[in-house]
Amino acid sequence: MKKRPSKFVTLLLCTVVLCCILSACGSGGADNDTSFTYVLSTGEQTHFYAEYEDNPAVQYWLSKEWDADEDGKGKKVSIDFITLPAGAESDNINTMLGTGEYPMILDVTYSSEKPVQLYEEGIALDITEYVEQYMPNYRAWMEAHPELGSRLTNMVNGERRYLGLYAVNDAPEQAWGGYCYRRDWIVKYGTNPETGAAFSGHWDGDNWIDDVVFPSGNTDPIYISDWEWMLDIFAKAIENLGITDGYALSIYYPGYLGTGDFMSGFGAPSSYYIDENGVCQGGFETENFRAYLECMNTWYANGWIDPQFDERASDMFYMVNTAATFAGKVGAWYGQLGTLGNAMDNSGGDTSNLTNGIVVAGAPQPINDIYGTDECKYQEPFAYYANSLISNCVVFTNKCEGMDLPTLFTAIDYLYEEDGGAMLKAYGLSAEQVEEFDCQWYRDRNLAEGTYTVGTDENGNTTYTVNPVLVNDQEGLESAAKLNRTIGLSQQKGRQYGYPESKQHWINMWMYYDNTGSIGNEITSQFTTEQQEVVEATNNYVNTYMNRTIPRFVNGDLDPTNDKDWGDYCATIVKYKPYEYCDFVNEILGN
Amino acid sequence: MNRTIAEKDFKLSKKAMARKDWRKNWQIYLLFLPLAVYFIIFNYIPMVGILVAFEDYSVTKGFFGSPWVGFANFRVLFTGDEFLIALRNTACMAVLNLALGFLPPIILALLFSECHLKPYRRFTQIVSYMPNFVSAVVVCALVTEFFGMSGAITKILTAIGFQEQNWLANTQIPVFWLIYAFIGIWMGAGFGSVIYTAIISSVSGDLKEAAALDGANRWQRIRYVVLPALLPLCMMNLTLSVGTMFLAGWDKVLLLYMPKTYDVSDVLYTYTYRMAFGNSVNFGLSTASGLFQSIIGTTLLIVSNKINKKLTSYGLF
Repeated sequence: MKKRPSKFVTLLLCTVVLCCILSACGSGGADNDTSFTYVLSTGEQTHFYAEYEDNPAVQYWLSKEWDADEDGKGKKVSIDFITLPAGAESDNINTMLGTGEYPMILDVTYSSEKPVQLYEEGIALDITEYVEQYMPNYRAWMEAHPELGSRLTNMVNGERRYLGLYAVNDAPEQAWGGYCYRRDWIVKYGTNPETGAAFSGHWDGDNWIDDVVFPSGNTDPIYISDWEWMLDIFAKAIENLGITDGYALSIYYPGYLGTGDFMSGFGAPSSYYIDENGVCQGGFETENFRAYLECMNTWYANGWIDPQFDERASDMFYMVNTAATFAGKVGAWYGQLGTLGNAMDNSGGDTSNLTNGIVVAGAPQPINDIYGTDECKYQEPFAYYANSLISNCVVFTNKCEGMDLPTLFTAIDYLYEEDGGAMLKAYGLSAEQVEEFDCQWYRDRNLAEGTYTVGTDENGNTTYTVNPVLVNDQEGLESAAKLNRTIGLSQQKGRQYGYPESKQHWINMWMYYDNTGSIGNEITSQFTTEQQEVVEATNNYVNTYMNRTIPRFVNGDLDPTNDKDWGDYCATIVKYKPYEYCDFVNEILGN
Repeated sequence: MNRTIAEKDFKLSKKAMARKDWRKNWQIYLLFLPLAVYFIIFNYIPMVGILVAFEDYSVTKGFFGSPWVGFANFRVLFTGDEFLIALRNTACMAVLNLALGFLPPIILALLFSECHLKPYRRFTQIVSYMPNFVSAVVVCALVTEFFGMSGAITKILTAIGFQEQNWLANTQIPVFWLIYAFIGIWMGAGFGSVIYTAIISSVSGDLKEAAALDGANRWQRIRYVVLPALLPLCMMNLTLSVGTMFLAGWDKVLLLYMPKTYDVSDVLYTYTYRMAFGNSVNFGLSTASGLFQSIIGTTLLIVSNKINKKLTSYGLF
């Protein structure tokens, strides 16, 4: 009697297990299946939410229904987000690809295999059909930016095809960093270059007002001659203050930034760039780069540059020798937005503290008006480190096959819709959406009024002012409240942070010129496997050689004006055949 | 003919002995099984990965699907401009580490054994072991501080007449090599002395006493009683150290070097790291370098074992 129910229970359990196994086997998806997996390259701070699908902006997006075939029957999309652990992104993606356990949507920012390679290996799908049929907003952005639009497609068998989708902006994002300098030292230790009169400056509330004029007649340092005048003042300030371990200018340890920056004001960066004709060039052995090195060499000899700059190899380019910088011992450096104004003043009123009364201002990339030939002078900077209009890319893997892709692409296209998903990506939820969605997460963080308010500027243009709660937050709330990590269009036009006028001016200085010369990932990710291998090998040799040699030109071990030193350097660089890279890029750009 | 029969008998008897041994000790063999399985799974099967050194490896294609490129990865490795510099630095630093780092643990162990003030001995032993448990990152941070422009060691060196400088940025031979050897001694001497201390403590007290009665002073007791007892272990450690000297501890170089000092600090490990992981991952190149260093290590191990055996009659195998 006792055995019967036991056998029955065993049979029942076996059936349940079998059903579970069979249902799991079937999770490859039916063509009406709208459950997807999406690997993000970066997540948010875990104290905001553990899973990215708990992001209120994501929930709002996924709560909508999408009618891809316009039959009046909408469907929801469900996405299970996986965030890669910080610091091990590349390893995790390689493991996923190696074991075949990759997701349906894969952010390839940290992948060693780019969209073309993944497509060649049968992992990434050709999504051209879906983009053309279900993504009018994405295509609209491409049409609005014809110079960039072609970069979002890949050459496959002589045809341009869509192998991935990119996150894009409608305008450059506000810079998070740039060249900073001690404006208070200029006021205190400088004099008007024309009249010789002392400068004055003061805080009017949160706004800094002074009468500083540079030798060029501008109120900001625009030319190299302005910088030389300024660095000389800093050197005097350091001497007067008795600072023994300070210096006027901090530079990155290789003596240059591969993205251009200071160098592009000499006509060409040291590395690769796109010129005014849209052609990729390499500036390694140009007279422009030589003029830049001559300038740095002179500045080093004048004692303006950090004497140990080439020893700070473990510092990031925007955090070089932070100990000295934050102690108020450096005149100019590459810094971040949070340090502008008087944020670095940690003196507590102690006048002996070197940060007492500090005023940090932002400067644009300087234009060379002194060094080299005429071709190297008065060139407007065009290549520097800045957020591109195109950022991360995702591919859709073969795990999506058989899924309801029309619905998925329709849902994703919403993220490219201006005043629609583009606002979710750029800002987060508006006050109406918080109300409509009954979003407690927002209310708990004083965001019941939404992440932005809509207004109009004096020219009648629409403005979006970011909620001050987000502006004042230092923990990453702004990013956590919006759809920052997914693909989509981020609407940047009209964005206002409500900063004081002086701070906004200094931020604008960082973006004073159009960054048209940088080569973004959207181009390099189009290299074929063979091209990628050539580029990697070349870059390894070139970077190592330049990182060893350029500092020697700066610190005087080598002389950039000496034809032999310069000739030896050029001969070695050419030996590594760096210009093959340009050929590859020009091929992609259709040159 | 007779020889063949004798060989056959010997083989048979060996088989019979093995069977007998199995019947008698099968539990012990069974106990060894998990260990054998562990080594097979984690040490031998992964050796298939050596294939990567001869392939244009792709994670998606795997070991057996990636295209075979023969010795192309080795060609890239050996023809790099900095390969010879890295090889020279690796060899010199390895020899210096061995030369300077081999004796301190033995000397320390002898000092401990001769120190009869127990609390003091325990304290100094603990203090000397501790650096071994500090992570390489922390050690390198400390070294950067101590040898930096205003570091404590720099100040001492300046006080005795050297120029004030960041010693880690010094490009003169053998400054970086000596600093690296010094780190190895500081981290490893105390912990390395443990095994020697254990051997010394196992030396019979009667022997020392007899030597003392025969008029041997403390130094002579060390020389004629303790050191002969340590010799086999010293030879074994020397052989192992020679075998692994090309492989161990280069993470610290990665943390301490900078482009300015590549000429004196770049080693095979860091050179490969830049070549294989500089811009993106090149598994083939890194595996080729690893294999090259393993072959050198194995060769050195065999040669040093042979030399040791010949000179001292002590050998690992």
